[in-house]
Amino acid sequence: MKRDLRMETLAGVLSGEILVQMHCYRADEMVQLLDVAKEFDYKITTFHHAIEAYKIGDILAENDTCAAMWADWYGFKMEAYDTIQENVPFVHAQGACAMIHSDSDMGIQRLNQEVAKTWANGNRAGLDISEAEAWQWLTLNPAKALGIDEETGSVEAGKRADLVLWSENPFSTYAVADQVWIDGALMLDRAAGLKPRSDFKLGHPGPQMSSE
Amino acid sequence: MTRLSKFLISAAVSLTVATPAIAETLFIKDATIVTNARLGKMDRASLVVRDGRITQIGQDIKAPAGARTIDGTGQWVTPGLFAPLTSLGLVEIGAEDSTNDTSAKDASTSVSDVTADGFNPKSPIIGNTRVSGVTHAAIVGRPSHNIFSGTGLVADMSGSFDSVLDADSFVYVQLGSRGARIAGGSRPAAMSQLRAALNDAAAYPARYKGPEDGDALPRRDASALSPAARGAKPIIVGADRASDLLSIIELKKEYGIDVIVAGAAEAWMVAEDIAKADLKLIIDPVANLPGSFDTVGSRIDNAKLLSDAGIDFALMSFSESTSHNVRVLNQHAGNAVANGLDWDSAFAAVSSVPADWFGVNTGKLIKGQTDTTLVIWDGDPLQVTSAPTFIMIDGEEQSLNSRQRELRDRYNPTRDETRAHKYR
Repeated sequence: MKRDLRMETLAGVLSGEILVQMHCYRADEMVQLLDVAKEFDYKITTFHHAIEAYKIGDILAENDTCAAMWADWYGFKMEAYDTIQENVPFVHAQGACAMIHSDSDMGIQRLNQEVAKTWANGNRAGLDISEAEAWQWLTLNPAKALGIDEETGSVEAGKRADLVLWSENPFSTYAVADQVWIDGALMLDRAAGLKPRSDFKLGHPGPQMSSE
Repeated sequence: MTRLSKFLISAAVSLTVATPAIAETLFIKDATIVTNARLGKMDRASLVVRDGRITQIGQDIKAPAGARTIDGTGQWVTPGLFAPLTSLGLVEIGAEDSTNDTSAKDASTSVSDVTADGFNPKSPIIGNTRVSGVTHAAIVGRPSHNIFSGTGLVADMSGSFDSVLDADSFVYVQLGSRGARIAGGSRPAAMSQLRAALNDAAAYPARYKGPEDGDALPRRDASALSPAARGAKPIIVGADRASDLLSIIELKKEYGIDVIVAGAAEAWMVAEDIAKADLKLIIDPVANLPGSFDTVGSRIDNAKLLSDAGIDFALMSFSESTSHNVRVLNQHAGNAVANGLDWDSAFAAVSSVPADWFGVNTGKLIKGQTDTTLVIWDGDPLQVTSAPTFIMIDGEEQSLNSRQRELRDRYNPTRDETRAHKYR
């Protein structure tokens, strides 16, 4: 029999070996897709972008499906028109697995600030979410969505040492990562000048030495 | 800047602007006040606004009789934020052409495209922006078929039909690799077109005797560019590479034009030349990536290095949507602080610096200030966790409502009453 990689992948989805990360914006479409998943007996792990997830937080919770959402991006296309600045905390408050999202090369550098602003907006709207709870939106919940929460996503004995040492409370704009440890290895150290530098940057203007 | 019949118009037609502060005395007490002026930043300070005019500001002020009092304990009072280069009100949905007036790739006009003709103060995005503390913006479209995109405007974020303060405020021109591509493929071609256009405009109308006259610009565009070509209006030039910035300095000397460079990612490399030439810059304080060969020298402390060199600069979040997410301006200014810029300079760079450039008298809180524009925040305005609790533009209290907040309130999980028209 000829091997069919496409069908093999879909078979993996049906058997639960492959997690489904799904790009979807509108509430009605997400609900429709959850129905499709029920009909064919597979699971959607996470909806990404999920602009209208706050409208269906209870349904996401019932289905144990996560939503990965921006703090404030919207409006670039019609299906992205209805976001609110409280999307992440509203989904969280309805009992579903919420996480912060960015597909921007800038936003991803400061996911802590994306979490901080949406968290503050949620509490301003009457929620009472602690910083510790909100911190799951960029640690434990994405680890769950990727199926690696046994390995990382929280600081616990037995998990990998994936740690950040912040200069101050990371809910502050002024906080910077002083040290970053990945699986126990120190990968960034501001004081010592240790940080990654790509081949591309060599010979171009700008900070050249790793200490700059 | 005159605001003819502002009160009459807004009182008659505007539903979004609440409670004009006509004949009201406002007393804000015991707040941290950022003046952007001689008094600097004051703790436990108070101010009085009477009929839109600041009559008192300082640390020992008593409540005037009959004043409406706002307790500013733990709050900050600042001038409104001024976003120095945006496309606010020109586009509702980026990908829906019928709602998008940011560019005109099939048009034959250029400088004579008046941005104000496309500006919609009733766009909900204006309200979404205002409630985040942005009270003013410079607005222009994006060049597409021509290195010029048109004549830009300055507006307030009140959402009222008379919110355009200056419909003929500045001209935008694109250089760098993007300008080169528009001009036909090279930087020399773009510079040639720009010089020819400036020559046409500086010689307007004398050069335009016949209908085909002008080297680069038809009559209507030469007419539109002529004030800027004579140094009477700013020209905002988009460019990042250090060598382009040096070319712009030469151009500024040659033509005596008033130039503001937008982008300027590699400005730190030629900071001394920029300072000497009094070139103004609008930079993105978080732009630290070599996204193109124009910005290969980008670094996160550009703002700090430019400040050290004494350069006049404003901040703008070009790395975010300049139509929909202008509200990250305070967050990004805070990031400049996190990377070495002093707080006062960072705040001025998103308020008084651009306000002064564009001739809008709103960037400072000083005694005698009329048409007062101010924002009360529930904390340090450069903290991502802070938000406005009160906004005044030109002496009028503004609504803190927006389309996004109406959606928020409709779906707020803390509200359990039945909402008849809720989505489900």
